[in-house]
Parts: sequence; structure tokens; C-alpha cells
Amino acid sequence: MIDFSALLAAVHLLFGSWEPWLVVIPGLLIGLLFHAVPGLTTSMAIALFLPVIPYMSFLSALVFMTAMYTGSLFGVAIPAILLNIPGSPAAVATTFDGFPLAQKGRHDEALGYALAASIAGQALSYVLLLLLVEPVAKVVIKLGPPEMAILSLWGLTLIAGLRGKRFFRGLLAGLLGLLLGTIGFSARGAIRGTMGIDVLLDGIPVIPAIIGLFAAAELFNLATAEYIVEDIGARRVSLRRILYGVTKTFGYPAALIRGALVGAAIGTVPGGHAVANLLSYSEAKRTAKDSSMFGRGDPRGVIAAEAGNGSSEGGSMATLLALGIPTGGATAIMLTAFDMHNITGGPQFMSDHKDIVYAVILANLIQVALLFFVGLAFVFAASYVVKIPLRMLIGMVISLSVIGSYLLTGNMSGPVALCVFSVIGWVLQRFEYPVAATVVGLLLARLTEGAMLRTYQMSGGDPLYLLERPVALILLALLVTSFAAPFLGRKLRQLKRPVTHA
Amino acid sequence: MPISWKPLALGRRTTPGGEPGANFPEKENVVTWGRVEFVSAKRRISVDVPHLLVLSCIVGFCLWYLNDARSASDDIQNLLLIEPAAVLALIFAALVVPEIIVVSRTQSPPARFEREPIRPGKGMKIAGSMVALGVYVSLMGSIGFDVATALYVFGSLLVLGERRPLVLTVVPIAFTAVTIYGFKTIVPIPLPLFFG
Repeated sequence: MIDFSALLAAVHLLFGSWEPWLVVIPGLLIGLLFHAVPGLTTSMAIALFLPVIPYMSFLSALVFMTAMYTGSLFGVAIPAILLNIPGSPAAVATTFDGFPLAQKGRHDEALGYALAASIAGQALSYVLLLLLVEPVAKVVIKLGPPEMAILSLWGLTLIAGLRGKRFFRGLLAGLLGLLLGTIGFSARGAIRGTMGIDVLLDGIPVIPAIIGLFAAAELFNLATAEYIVEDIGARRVSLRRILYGVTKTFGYPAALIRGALVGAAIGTVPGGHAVANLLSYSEAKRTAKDSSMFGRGDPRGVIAAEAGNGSSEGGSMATLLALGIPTGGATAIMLTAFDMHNITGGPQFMSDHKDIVYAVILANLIQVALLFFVGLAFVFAASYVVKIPLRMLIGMVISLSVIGSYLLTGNMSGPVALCVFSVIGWVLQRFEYPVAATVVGLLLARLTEGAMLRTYQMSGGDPLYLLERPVALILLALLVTSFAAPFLGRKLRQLKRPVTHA
Repeated sequence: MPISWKPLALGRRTTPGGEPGANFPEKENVVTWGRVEFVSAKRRISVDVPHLLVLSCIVGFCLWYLNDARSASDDIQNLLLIEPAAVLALIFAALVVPEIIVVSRTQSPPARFEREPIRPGKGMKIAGSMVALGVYVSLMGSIGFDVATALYVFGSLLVLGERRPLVLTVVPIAFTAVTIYGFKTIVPIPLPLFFG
């Protein structure tokens, strides 16, 4: 599984020079900062620093970019927990339990859970990558549209789990999000639902819409509160509480490990990074013995979501290095660094530059350890947000999000989407339609439709085509099992319970 | 059978028996504004009008969007996800209706459409925040992001109750300066500004 001679060469490469280590901490900080500000993205951060890439060695360039990626994976959780604003789709599930924890005055603890889970998830995925990068490459190349369609459906089943108190309202909200997410050009060139507005041809801008649905709607409701945390005693910034959250994370091994494994697997698939946190959260909720606190401040929700998000990095790197296929915006820009040094990722790269591959993996394991210290300091500073009066915070946060939305889309469609969806989000919340379900539908609509369409085209409409795709059948079996397992488990426990006679 | 129409006014509190103004413990107080009742000798039909309007908008959107997608192309490849999703949405909307239009016996207590009451002061702040955001987004393209942001933060502070002149002047200007300058430095996308 491990080529030890290449591993030794990697150690020599990494520790034979100071250059790779000079860029790690700046990379982590840039990644953290960019995703802690709503509207800024990892892709922007990496693109911004592309001009310096040719002046670095290839290894230093990769270490710098992966450090930014590592920092950003945790950075997105900070506004998600403190302000209910997911820094990217990768932190949507973190808001479900992170913000309720913050409102209860447990913001430090929640940030501690997120930090520890993100680090543990990333570390686990890189250890798996070290052991399994070649076999993983062989499996990933077999993944196609049918497998993506099943993964997307798996993500959509999360909607059923987010129903809140009202079952049918939850499903209706999710389907509304799904329909809204398909507005615009279809893959076949049909124009749906644009009402003649040109900017809608590319669809509704998803991240501004999500910020509007979640954050702006919530902030309207907070208009009469004084602070995010009402209790003055709870409105403190405590390093001790953050560290408490970090250590308590390991008291939930099931949520942590399951979330990390799901995220690592999903991260290997193009587009999977955005749904890794959702699927990890969904599985944690579905398999929990008592899921009544999910959505109301259950630490397992934050831990599973962040472990899944963090571990998706290792999966993404496996696909990038082994196949030369980017799985998202950040890895696509990393490929540019490959081009700048006249290197192409893929099987040839794996066989010719195995020492660099192992060096990147080892460097990432060390980055993850450094993230603990850098992240802790960052989180300690970020926690002061709860001390700012809401009447100041609301305007500043919303205007930051509006400007960020403009930067994301490059035109006014971002701010307008944020504004419109903030009103929609408030109305949905008011009448007890779970906004989270609408967000999940919105996020997964394009991915699901595209995968279903390509599957239909490949199969010619023949459902028996799935029998020719063993990986798809395995995923379908896993989907059905994960769905049925809690019900079957309950039935088995009921059957095993001894019958008592009066 | 005579049917009487009894609309309840905004904000009136009701007892379980339907009579306004009675006293009972705070936790049982339910404000059911916008509720309309149709009462006959045997039946009482309670309608949550605001919720019915919202559901109608959702159903209306689903129907309109399905029709629009079909007119764009009725090929199965265009409607693969949209048609099943829209049909399911309509089915679930029909299943939500019994929660909004409740039929009960006249002698039974009226239906309780429970929502946390919005006090007039809070309602004004929420509405004011929404209007402020709408005005901000409408104006930012024409008067510049810098001026619009400063005015929005100022307006938001005012709506939410800030009255200290120093805070009302310094915070919007300082925040705008730091934000716009920061974004200009970090991000290569130009922002439309009034100054610069």
C-alpha cells in the first residue's frame, strides 16, 4: 500500500529545505480569513496568489495552496456558528446545530467542536490517502453519472430528516428549493423560469440565496434582541470553553469517525465537496439513538458536519493527484499551478512524482496539526463577535454579505437574490416551513438534475442499465440500508424485548 | 343552514371557547390574527388566512414553473426532475391544507393556529429592516457601494434603536471605509463607488 522508498524521499524533500515551511502559516491564515468573511471564497484566495506561484518551487506552491484550502475548510464554520451564515455550501449543515449552540451561550464550545472535528476529519482523510491513494484512484475512475445521481438522491433524503415539527411542510419546503434550483438554462438548452431576466439564465445565485434564507431572515428576527447571546454571563470569550469543546469532541467517536469516513468518500467525487457536510450530518442524525436535539444545538450535529467537511479535502486531493481531475473551484485552480510548472496530474504524475505526492500528504498532516494552534487563536478572536450589540452587528453583517454577494456573481444578481430570499426565508420560518430543507433542495438541484439527465442519456431510458454499474448498485444498497437501518434496528429491539404477562 | 362569518381582528386574544378578552395563564395565550371562521349549527370551519395566502403562493409558483418548463420543452430530458418534483410539491401542499382549513363541530373549541405573536414594536423593526435592505440593494448600483453602505448601516442603526450621535456618525463611516478599502485591496473585482 505504501511505497516506503518514495515516502523516505518525500521526508527528505520536505525537511531538506525551509522553503515549504515558510508558506504554511500564511496559507492557513489566508484560508481562515477568506472563508470567515461571507462572500469571499477559497478560489478567490488561491487565484489572488497565483502570480507568486511561478516563483516558488512546485512543492512549495502545492503546500501553500493546500494550506489555504486547509484553513478555509475550518474558516467556513466560524460565521456559520456565530452568525448563522455558512461561509460556503460546505458549512450549511454546521449552521443547523452550531448557531443554536451559539444562541445558548455555548459559542466557544461550538467553535471548539468545529475546530477539533475539522482537524480530526482532515487528519483521518490524509492518513487514508497515504494508505489508499492508488486503489482509490482505480475506484474513482469508475464513478460516473449514475453514481452521482444516487449520491445526490442520498443528499436529498436529508430533506426528509430536516422536516422539523411539520412533516409535509418540510418536504414541501425542500421541493420548493429543488424547483428554484433548476431555474435557468437546462443542460439541453431549454430556458426555464427566468421571466425574461437575463441574469437568471445561469440560475439563481446559490450562495447569496442561502445567505439570504438563513442569515438575513434570522437577523431580521433578532432585530429586537440586544445581543446574539442574551444572557450577559454567557456572553464571554473563554479559551477554556473552546478547549473544553475540543476535548469533548472525542467523546462522540461515532459521529466523528462516521462523519469523517462519509466526507472522505464523498470528497473524491466532483461536486461532492459541497454535499459532504450534509450527508455526514444526515447520517449522524439518522443513526443517533436520540436525535431529538439535532437542529437545536446537538454537538454531534456540528461534529459530524465539520468532520465530513474537513475529510472531504483528502478525498478531493486523491482525485486531483491521482487522476488530474478537479472536484471543485479550489482544486481547479490548483491545477493551474501544475500547468505553471509544466506538470499534468494523473496516473503518470503518480508514477513519476510519487515522492512529491507523499510530500504533499505529509505536509498536509503537519498543516492540520498547525491548524489547531492557528485556528484556536483565530477562533478566540472571532468569538468577540458575541459582545457586539446586535443593533450594530446586523447592519454590518448584512452589508458585508451583500457586498460579498456582488463579488461572487460579479453583478447585482447576487445582492438582489440575497434581498429576495431574505424575505422568502423570513416568511417560510414564520409559518414553520424549515428553511434548511429549502437550502438543501437549492444546493442539490443542479447536481441531481445533471446526474439524472446524463444517466438517462447513457442508459437510453432503460432502468436495467443500473445492473451494469456495480458501484452504483453498492451505493444504492448503502442508501437503502442507511435509510432502513434505524427502523429495522427498532423493530429488532422490539422483537427481542421479553414479553411480560400481566 | 345559516352560516355566520366571524373574522377575528388582528392581535385579539381568544379563549379556547372562542370568546375574546378572557384571562387565562400567559403560556396558553395564543394570538391567532387573521383567522376567519365560518360557523353553522353543526360545523365550524376555521381558516388561517395568512398561511393560506403563503401556501397559495407556493402552489402558484409550482404550477407556473411547471407550465413554463413544459412550454420551453416537453422533452422528458427537460422535465426529468422538474415534473416529479412539482407534482410531489402539489401533493404535499394538498396535505398541508388540513392544517390551515380546519373543520370541526360547532361545540368543539376553535382550531388554534399557533404562531408566536409579533408585538407592534418588533413588527416595525422587522419591516423596517426589510425595507432598509431593499432600498440599499436598489440604490447601491446608482449611488455607489460606498455611499449606499454608509447610508444603510446608518439607517439600520436608527431603525434598531441606536440614538447616540457619535455612534450614528462614526460607525457607518468607519465600517464603510474599512470594508470597501479591504475588499478593493484583496479582491480584483472592481466595485462601483461614488468616491473613486
